[in-house]
Amino acid sequence: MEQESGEVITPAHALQAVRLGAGLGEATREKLARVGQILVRGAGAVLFREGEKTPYLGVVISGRVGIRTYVAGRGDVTLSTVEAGDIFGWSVLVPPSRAHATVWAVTDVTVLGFPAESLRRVLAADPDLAAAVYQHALSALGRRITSTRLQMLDLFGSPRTTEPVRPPGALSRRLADVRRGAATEEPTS
Amino acid sequence: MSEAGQGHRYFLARHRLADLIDVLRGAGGRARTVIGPTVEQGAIVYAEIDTAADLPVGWRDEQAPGHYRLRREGDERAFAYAVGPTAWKRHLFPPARVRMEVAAEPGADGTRFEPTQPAASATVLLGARGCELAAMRVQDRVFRGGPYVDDHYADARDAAFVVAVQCTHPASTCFCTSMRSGPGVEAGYDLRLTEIADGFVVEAGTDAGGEVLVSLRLDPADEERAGEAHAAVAACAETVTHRNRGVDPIRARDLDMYPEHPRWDEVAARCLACTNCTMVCPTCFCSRDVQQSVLARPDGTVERQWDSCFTAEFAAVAGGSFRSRIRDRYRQWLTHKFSTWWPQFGTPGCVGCGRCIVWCPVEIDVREEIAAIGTSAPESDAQDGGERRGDVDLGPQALTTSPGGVPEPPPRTGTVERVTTETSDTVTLRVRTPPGLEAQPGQFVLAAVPRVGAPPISVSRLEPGTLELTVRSVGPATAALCRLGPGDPLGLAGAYGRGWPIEAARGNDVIVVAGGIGLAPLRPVIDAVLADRDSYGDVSVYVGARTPDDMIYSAEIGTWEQRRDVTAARIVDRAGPDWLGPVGVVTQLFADTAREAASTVAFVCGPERMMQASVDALVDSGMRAESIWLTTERHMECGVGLCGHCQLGPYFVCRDGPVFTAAELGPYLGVEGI
Repeated sequence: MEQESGEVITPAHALQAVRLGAGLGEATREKLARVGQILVRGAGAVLFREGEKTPYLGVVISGRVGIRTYVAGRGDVTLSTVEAGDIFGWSVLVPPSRAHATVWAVTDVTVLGFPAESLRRVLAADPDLAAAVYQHALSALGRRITSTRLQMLDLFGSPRTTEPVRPPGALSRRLADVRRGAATEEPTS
Repeated sequence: MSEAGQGHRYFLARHRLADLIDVLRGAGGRARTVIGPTVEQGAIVYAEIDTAADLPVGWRDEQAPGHYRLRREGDERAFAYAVGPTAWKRHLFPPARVRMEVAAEPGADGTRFEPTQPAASATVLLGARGCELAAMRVQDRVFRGGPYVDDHYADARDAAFVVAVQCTHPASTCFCTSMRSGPGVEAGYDLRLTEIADGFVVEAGTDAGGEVLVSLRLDPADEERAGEAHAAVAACAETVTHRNRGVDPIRARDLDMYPEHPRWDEVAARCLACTNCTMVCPTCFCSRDVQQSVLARPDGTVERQWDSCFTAEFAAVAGGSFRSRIRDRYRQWLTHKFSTWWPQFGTPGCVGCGRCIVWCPVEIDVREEIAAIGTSAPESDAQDGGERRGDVDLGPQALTTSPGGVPEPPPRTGTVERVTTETSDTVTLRVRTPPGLEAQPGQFVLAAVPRVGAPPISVSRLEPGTLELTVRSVGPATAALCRLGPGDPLGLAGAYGRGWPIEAARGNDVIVVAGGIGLAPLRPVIDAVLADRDSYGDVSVYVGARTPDDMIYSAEIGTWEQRRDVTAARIVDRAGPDWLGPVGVVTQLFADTAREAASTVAFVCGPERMMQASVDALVDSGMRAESIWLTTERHMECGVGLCGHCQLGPYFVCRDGPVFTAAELGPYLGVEGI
């Protein structure tokens, strides 16, 4: 695969540039990159379909990928999108590895894919790599769940929600922080 | 005259009480209305009195939680009771008064909003107790102490001649000594009476009071009578103090630190939200503006009526109430009285008169509640309250106001120039502003439609001579605004509130995060930054909406996306088939970007839950809560901090906000019931 500059994108390069790879040591990253493949799809192409065995764990290198499902009477409904740097196809990591939604290319996309069998093999052989990949996937899933909850609240449809949004006790702790003049943590950067 | 000056004690024989009232009614050639205690419908209330015979001579009151009875003692004492259900605020701040006349005739000048002018007549307030004078000083702070004043209240207060009566017969519900408001009267009176066996020891507190004493030609009080009067008040104080040993208003200042104390649920299970406590409270000041009209006529009036934070509507905005549960409302009331009143006005909002205890039909006793919550907070909910210790001072020195505020201004009439349809329920009105109306980005106006109402609307664009208001039709008033067309008149009051600190953001990277119609108050920020683009670092604009069709200013967002010197992106909750942009929540657009804490300023507006998620994402990316600015929505009636509706913890959103930092709002953002 060539970029506009003419530089060839390799799985190793691609992995280095995304969060999944940035958190790995060089040797580990190379081990993972060896099972990766660069995939290029045009806008509108379906990468895999809901209900199928998930073929690979994907990382969006460029472009935008959509997660959609079919609803009778409403057609294909895009539930969320995945932008450059983020992953999709996480179900490949968890039996029965069935795709919960259809993944499609909203725009022309370049994707780094880790085919199911190869990925499982390399993760089984290297617990440290497995831990890193699972942690990354869990983090992405957490963000997606949070986003989905906010979407479900339909905040813009109704001016407000009546659900409490902080667990009991959290408010008091934050009040105490403010009163002590430590409303925020020190900057992390 | 000098003999009757301040500091001298005189004796008024009991049979001469009638003379005092006569002099009060006509002293100095002025006709005064005397309001004093009298027995009506089984209670001692304040009403107009003509003679000494109208006073509650020989009556005693029995007061306990949920209990009030009068008992005829048969003696000649006229002030041997504590306080009844009516407070003086009924006369200084009446339950209903016409605030504005609204004309809505055809023609260019047909729509006018004319405030009624105060015209209080000279009045004597006879029988005011120490706690009641403290309550007046508390309300002085509320109505006269800020940049905007209630001129009707101020006028009535200035027109009042106060005859204070020191307490000698406290009720079981009195706790004035805890609040340092009684039973003696230290200041704030023209005349001060202390009832003794054969009459009254009388002192003048002002020259006007001295003139009354001169007219009465009284003899000085002898040592014995002066001593009797002093001892009676001292004994009263001792009784009240003894009964209320556990009542600690200083400790009660920390009540708002325990918002999740289980006691709130317990008291809420008893509370009927009947509003009695707020109606009888001498300091409660909340009000609403009610549109009054006759169907067949185009004009009408706006009436200001007492309101209560115990009603479900009090904190309601389109879509729901911020205090939907009784628990929330009781907590708001009690924490306001004892905690958040302090940062707002420098005092507690309670004077210890005990009325709320007596007139509560289910016998809720605030003394028990503040003791239970303040001293038995569960471990997980406990805070160090020591740092907020101070002293209660309801004395005249502490409560002196320096009048200098201006009367609450009426709306002035502007004209709609253009209407732009933004979405299916939202329009932008371009309004030619009336002279003198100036606004800053982030401020709001009250947009008044005759006979309908005046909802607060954020200014969404500022240009010389015009401003734009983007209005979503979510209720009758906003629907009326959305129906306006070019040439239609529109009342505008304001602009009010603290705006966005755009100047302070110069030299910094700027992030704008908007959700739904929250983009409206942020558009003036974007306008200002883009108009002076070189003065800012990186500029990013992130916009979330429900669907692509619900996105306001869609074409304008497109122009921001085209610019090379702006990072702009939009995202929707629900995509249509034609949408090829991001789908999800707005935080997805910026959560992964690291920020320089010291040089980044964020401006955020949208539903509270969305703002909270945005603040969390920005803080996680390295920003400081002090550099994240939010604008928030609450129910507003007056826009200037007088009506009490928009309270959010210690803040009045209209006056202290609507723009706050995340550090200021953090504890309250998105929390149910605050």
